[in-house]
Amino acid sequence: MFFNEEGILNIDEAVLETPSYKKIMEDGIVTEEELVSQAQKVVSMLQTMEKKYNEEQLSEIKALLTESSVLYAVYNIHSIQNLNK
Amino acid sequence: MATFNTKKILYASPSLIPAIAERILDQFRAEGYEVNCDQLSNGGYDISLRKGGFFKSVLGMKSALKISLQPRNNEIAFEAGVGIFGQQVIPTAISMFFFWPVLITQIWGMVKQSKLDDQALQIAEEVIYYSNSNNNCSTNNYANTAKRFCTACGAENKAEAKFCNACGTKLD
Repeated sequence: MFFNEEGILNIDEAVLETPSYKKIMEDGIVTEEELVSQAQKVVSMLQTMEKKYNEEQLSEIKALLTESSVLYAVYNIHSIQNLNK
Repeated sequence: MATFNTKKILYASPSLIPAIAERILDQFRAEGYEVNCDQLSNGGYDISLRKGGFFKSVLGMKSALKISLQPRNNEIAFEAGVGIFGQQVIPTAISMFFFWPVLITQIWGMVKQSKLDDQALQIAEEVIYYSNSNNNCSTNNYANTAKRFCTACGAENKAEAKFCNACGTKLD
């Protein structure tokens, strides 16, 4: 589901196959409108999930999103620190 | 970032950088790696190494072991990390993919397990060693004492070895 046969994360393959990514990248240019539209789509999905799943399931989803966001944030902060060295 | 790269200052003249780069490219090319080398305006070299099945593509971009050789005063700064094939970026600037930090951790783990960074570093140190020991060292002389590395386990073998002395894998 999340990993390929070598145990490596395969989410980017799923990204490449996602209609929204394909549509946005069709002309090779990302516009502000496309960025806003994608952001709204994410918010809309979260709102739908909030109604659809129970509290325990939502807690797990939120924990994953939060931990992933922490990783992404600290990774980029670390990269900026290195640039300033 | 020690977690994601290997860094070492090599105490040798930066004039040796082209020879080191050439030797690293030759060695990995001989082992079936796809290689790319860019000479930088400061005299440094940026090398990309990848092999199918080892480095995955991320959003259509091929990940690779990136080796940077940079002149630093009268020394050579060696750095190996994971980046994108052919791009002069080491190793962590590409963060366009949300899960890039996860992928870089996984790929770097495979690099460390296979000791690819150590292999590249050892090649660099050997070039320096032979250059220091004999300034007139010929290519043939070097080749006679060169070592081979097992692509399966990373173990060092004699140049003439046909099989790995550590795991028994046939050496190409």
